[in-house]
Parts: sequence; C-alpha cells; structure tokens
Amino acid sequence: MQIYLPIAEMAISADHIFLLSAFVGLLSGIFGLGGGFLTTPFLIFSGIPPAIAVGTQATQLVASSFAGSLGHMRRGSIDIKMGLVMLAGGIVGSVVGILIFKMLQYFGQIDFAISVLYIGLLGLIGSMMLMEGVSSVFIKKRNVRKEFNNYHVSPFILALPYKMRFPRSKLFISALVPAGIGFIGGVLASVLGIGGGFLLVPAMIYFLGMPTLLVAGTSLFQMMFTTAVATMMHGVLNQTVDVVLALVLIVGGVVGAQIGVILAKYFKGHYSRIVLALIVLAVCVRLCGDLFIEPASLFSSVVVPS
Amino acid sequence: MRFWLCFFILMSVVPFAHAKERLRTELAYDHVDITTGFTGASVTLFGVKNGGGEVVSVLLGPKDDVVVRKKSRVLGAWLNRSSLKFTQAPLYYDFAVQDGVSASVLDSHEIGVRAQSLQPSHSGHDEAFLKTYREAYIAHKQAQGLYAKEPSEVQVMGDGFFKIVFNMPADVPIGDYDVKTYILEDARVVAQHNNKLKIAQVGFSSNIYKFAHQQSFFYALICVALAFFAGWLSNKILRKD
Repeated sequence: MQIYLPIAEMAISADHIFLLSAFVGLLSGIFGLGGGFLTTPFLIFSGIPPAIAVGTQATQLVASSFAGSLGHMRRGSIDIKMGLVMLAGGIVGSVVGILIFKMLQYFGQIDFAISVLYIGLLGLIGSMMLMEGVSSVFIKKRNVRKEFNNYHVSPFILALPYKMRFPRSKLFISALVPAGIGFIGGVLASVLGIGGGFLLVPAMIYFLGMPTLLVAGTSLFQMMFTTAVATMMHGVLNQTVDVVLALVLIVGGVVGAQIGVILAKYFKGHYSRIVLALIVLAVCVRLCGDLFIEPASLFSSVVVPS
Repeated sequence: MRFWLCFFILMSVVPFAHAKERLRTELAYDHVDITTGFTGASVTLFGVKNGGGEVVSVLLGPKDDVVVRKKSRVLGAWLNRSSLKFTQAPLYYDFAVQDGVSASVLDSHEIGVRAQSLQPSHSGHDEAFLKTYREAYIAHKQAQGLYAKEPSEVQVMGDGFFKIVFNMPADVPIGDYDVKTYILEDARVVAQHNNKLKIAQVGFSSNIYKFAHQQSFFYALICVALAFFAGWLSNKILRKD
C-alpha cells in the first residue's frame, strides 16, 4: 500500500516502512537495544531524505524510550536526580546538534556527514558486538555485570569540581560528568536521530561508576526527554518531522518489539549477538559502498525555496 | 463522470466556436488533489483546432531556486564539492508533440526540456561550466521523472479534436502549473491557448502540511504528545502478556 507522506511530500510503500520498523523493533525486543541506529540508515536506503529520516526517527525514539522508562519506573530502577542532571546536558546537546545539522545542511554536506558518522558508529558497535559475541562463545566469561560494578572511576573524574550527591546511585561526583554524557546523547539525538544508549550505557558505567542495575533505566529516562527536545527542534526549525511516517514507525516498532520479546526466549545469547553484529556490519558496509563507490550520477539537485 | 461531461460540453460548444476560434483546449480536471493515498495522476487535455497545422502542448510546473551539486572524490569518498544555483528553474516539465513537427522547429520555439532557460544566480561562470550544470539538472530531473524524457503523444480523434494525456509521478511538486498549447504551421505559431492547473495537497495531507509549516511549534508538540501516548500504550499492551 502506497501512502503519501505530507511533510516529505512523497509517496512511499507503507508495507515496506512497516516491515522495516517491525524488523528493528524485533531486534530491539530480542536484544533489549534501542535500534534507532539501524532505523535511520534503513529509512535513508528507502529514499527518505536524511533530514526527514533523522527528525522523524527522533519522534519514534520518544515513544520507545518512554515505553521503556515506564517499565523501569515501576521497578524503581531509575536514578531520577542523575537523569535530570544528564538531561540538562542533553538539552544543550540537542540545541547544539540542531545548529550543527542546519550548518551542514547549508553547506550541502548533511548527507555526507550522516553517512560518515553512521559508518563510524555502526562499524564501532558492530565490531564490538562481534568481538564480544565471538569471545563469549569460546571463553566462558565471568558475570560481566558483576565486573562492571567494581569498576574504579578515574581519579581525574573524581577531581572535577561541582560535586553533587546522588543518593540513589550512592555516588558523590562532579555534576559535569553526567551533564557531559547527556550532552553527547543530545547531539547524537538531533544529528543522527538515535538515542545513543549503546554509548551512554557504557559511559555511565565507566565514567560515573553507576550501579549497573540503574544504568538502563536512567539512560532511557533522560533519552525520552532529550529525543522530545530534538523532535521539537526539528519540527520547529526544520519542519522535518513527518507525523504519518512517525506513526508507521511507532506502530511497526511496537509490533516488532512485542514479537521480539516472545522470541527472545528461543534465542541463544551468544550466537544471536553475532548475527546482530553481522547485520549491523552489513549496514555499515552498505553505507561505505554508497560513499566510496563512484555513484552512477555525480550530480544532484535540491530545491531551495527562494 | 466529469471527464465525459467535460468532453461533451466541449463537443457542444465547438460548433459555435467554429467560426472564430482557431484553437480551444480544456483540461478534464483543472486541479490535481494530493491525498494520503496519492500515487500519481494523469492530466487529460482535450482540444479542438480549426484548420491545418500541428498541435504542440507544454505542461510547465512551478518555478523555484535550485542548487545543483557535483560530487568529486576526496580521500576515496564521494562528496559534494562544487555547486551552482539556478534562479527560478522549472521544477516540472512535460510536453506533447503531434507527429510531423521537427526537433529544430521545437527548438526555435523553445519547446522541450533542453530549451528551458536556467539562469545562474551569479554571473561570471564560463559557458562550458554552465552547460555541464544545466544538462546535469535536466538529467537529474529526468531521472526523477519530473522532466519528460520523450514528448507525450497528441491523440488526434478526427474533426479537429485531439486529446493529450500527461502522466505525473507521485512526487510531483505542488504548485501552479501552466498548460500552453500551440498550433504550429510552417514552423510558426499561428494559435495559442492556455490553461491553468493547480496541484495541491488536500484534506488530511494538506492540513498536516499547513499545520506543520504555519504552527510548527504546536505541530511538534502534538508529535511529541502522540509519541508519549504511543509509548504509554505500547507499554500497556506489552505488560498484559
């Protein structure tokens, strides 16, 4: 079924977009990751202009991170104070991200920047997951979560000023560190349309020394606000939030995630992680191909309303 | 229904018009509505001509500034390196030509994609550079299906009646279109008749588009609210299991 996207001003196959977001939702249900880093490249491959892909994907993230936070809220696994400090940085980060985005758009390099950033990002995530997956197949690892808990935060971070007490995480640490992590999350949300959980979660463990139990919930909690701010900025400054596309993405994501959660029981951890890593790397290679293989046409044109 | 109505009205008007009008054309619909289910449209033009000559018709879309960018290789990667801005370039161009009109005649009347004037926003570019970018713009538009690759057919139905069908893709630019129809005789334009066509989003699509551009703050706010609602709903559904 073709549907006309009112903001993108183009018709697209709704089935295709639905299946795509359901597929990413399925992966997120099985592996418990956000998957925003796959949806945006998939949308770009489907011919959606990158600006609209990013702006709309931010909207979808609001829905998925809110759904995730609700679950953590019930279990009480969110450090609200930490989340709010991260959020302060996150809001500044999304504003800076939008400015970067607009500047790249002006210079005609937004497509290139998005491709390069995604190649770096997916290459990093994919190879890390692949290594982790392969090594865990061969070596019976100790409990990773326990290991993270005992991680010692660098003395440099402990020496930073503006210290703040975070009773829930039992931490006394400079507010600059969580705010800085939130800042990076905000930039990622507005430039790439991703929540950045894969980056925030390890950063919160290594740089903050937060208890692992609270990390996922707290990152989702701040993510839902950061992505909401990013959506607002994209909608107001760029008019690149397509509500019809966002709804298809959200519905597809929910359906996919629900199936994913059911299927998760039947998946062997290590092997499925390797499969996921290969999917991520395949997307990365495809993006590399688009960037490095000589395109069929060197020219492109874009309307710039006078 | 309206298609035939239009046709019959045209047929009935023609005998009276016969004496004075050399050429008369009418669109089956003078507007194309873009709705959520829009997948492209056919625009049908009916016409009647008195006397000889060949029919040529041009469908010219709205104009706007465009930037044409060229990629070149930097450290192995292809990225946009040079660009040229054209002011008020046509965003859509289609035309129909009756058999028997030569290419040179069309060129002399500036009909056809290559005859479109594409003016750079700044002067001082050399001619070869301009030519490259003009051709690149036309080729890109043709690849998108927004500039005609081949002229459409003028279907002659006898008694001076003719019909032209222009096919438009789903991503046709919205705006005001002009349909200009000419009769060419001995390489000269002997008659011309113009029609106007409006392409716009209507209903749901149009409301969203207008809302998003005119009230962008509230639009974005609603998008965010909708996303929160969807998140809450999906959490409820997932928890039931």
